[in-house]
Amino acid sequence: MSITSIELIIALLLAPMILRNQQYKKYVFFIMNMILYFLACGTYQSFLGSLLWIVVPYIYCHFFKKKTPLFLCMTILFLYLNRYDWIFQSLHIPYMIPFMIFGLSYIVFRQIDYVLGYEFYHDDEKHFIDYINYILSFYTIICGPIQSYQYFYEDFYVKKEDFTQRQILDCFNRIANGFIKISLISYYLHKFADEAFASFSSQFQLLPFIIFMVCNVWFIYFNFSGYCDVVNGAAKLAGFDLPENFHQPFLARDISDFWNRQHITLTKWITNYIFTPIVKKMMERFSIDLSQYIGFFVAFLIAGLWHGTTMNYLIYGILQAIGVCLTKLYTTYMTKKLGGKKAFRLYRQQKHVKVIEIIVTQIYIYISFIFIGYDIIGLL
Amino acid sequence: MNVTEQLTEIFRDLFDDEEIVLTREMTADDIEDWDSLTHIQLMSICEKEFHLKFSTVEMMHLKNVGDLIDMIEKKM
Repeated sequence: MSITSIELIIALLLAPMILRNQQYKKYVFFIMNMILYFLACGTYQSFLGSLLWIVVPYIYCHFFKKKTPLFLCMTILFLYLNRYDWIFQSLHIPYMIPFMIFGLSYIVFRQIDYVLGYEFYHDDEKHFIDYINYILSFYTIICGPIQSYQYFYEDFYVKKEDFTQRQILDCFNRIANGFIKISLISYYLHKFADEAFASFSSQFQLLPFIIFMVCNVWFIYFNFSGYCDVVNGAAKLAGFDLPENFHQPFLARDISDFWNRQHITLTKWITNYIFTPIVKKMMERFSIDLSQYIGFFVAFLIAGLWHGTTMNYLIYGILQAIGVCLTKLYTTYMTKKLGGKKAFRLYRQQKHVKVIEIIVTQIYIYISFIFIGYDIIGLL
Repeated sequence: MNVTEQLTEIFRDLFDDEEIVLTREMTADDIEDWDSLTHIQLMSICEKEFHLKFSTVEMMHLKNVGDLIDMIEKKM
């Protein structure tokens, strides 16, 4: 199932009529999610396997307080089911599961959020149907955005005010923009990136390489933000407020700023569940600076590997971590040199500094994103 | 000193700003240097000063300074 699948488009169009402020929307949404997920899985085997994966953590929460054994099993199974070849082939472990779980990467993030927050939920927030609606929501199953269960639950049961015509038009406008970004702009950018990649992959040429770098980054942006425009706009029509994933990432002043503007919900998740616990633990032993650098590397390595199963994504993650560390070093150095945070803030307000910072950040993003979607390591 | 006064001291030291006056509605958006890293520092200092422990999820669910004050008072 993709964002342009006919079954998903039908669901997106039907949902505002049968879900918005309806008394039984929880059950109707559940049925829609199950049907669409079954169609996305394609086979009974995959559907049943996926259900098993989804139900076990829910049952586990009811009976056990200690979460570590569950997360350990889930991590190993996640790597196995998503087929991280370079891990399992080197260990000579054959694949014995003949299917994949649709949307597993996003399902896992939602499950971890649900399981960790479980002890804080009231009894009426723990219903199985709410859990399934959260995990398998057809709006977010393909590529997010990643919501917390608390955010999802509160939003789901809040009665929404009636729409004005203007608001309805805005939603349709956003959906149409999203489809244009996906079907037209990102289609051609992907084509250009493919052609440029093919022309420098046999023998290195600078111009095709630059075209490839630029088109690949813009393809990722238009494709993903287009998808977000479609689902956020369609969800709003049905009475759901999904969190935003993009905030003008190409105006970012440094790599740290970039990740606060690009795939925002992933950055928040990684910050909350990986970066924060690691840094907090490290600070008990090491200095705050060293702790944060360790935190950046671990967080971006995991984020990189989550994006894809090959070594290319590992390099991509490391490059992002280096980018954020360089940002921190630059901030510390300049703050000292200029004599304080206030002076550094004033310095950054100058127009020429703004432009230079944006350009340098852009170039770093173009270079570090070459590992996404293409086997660059295979060329070396 | 009550929790709010103690917290005000902590905030002033951490953010190096003697003019900070805490309100219950105050969030990270109101203090320029309050990012994810200083948030972790803030939590660690609170843990030491008030002799308590925060879990990752508790830290995540804090929406504003009021929530932090309530959580500290509940745990003390």
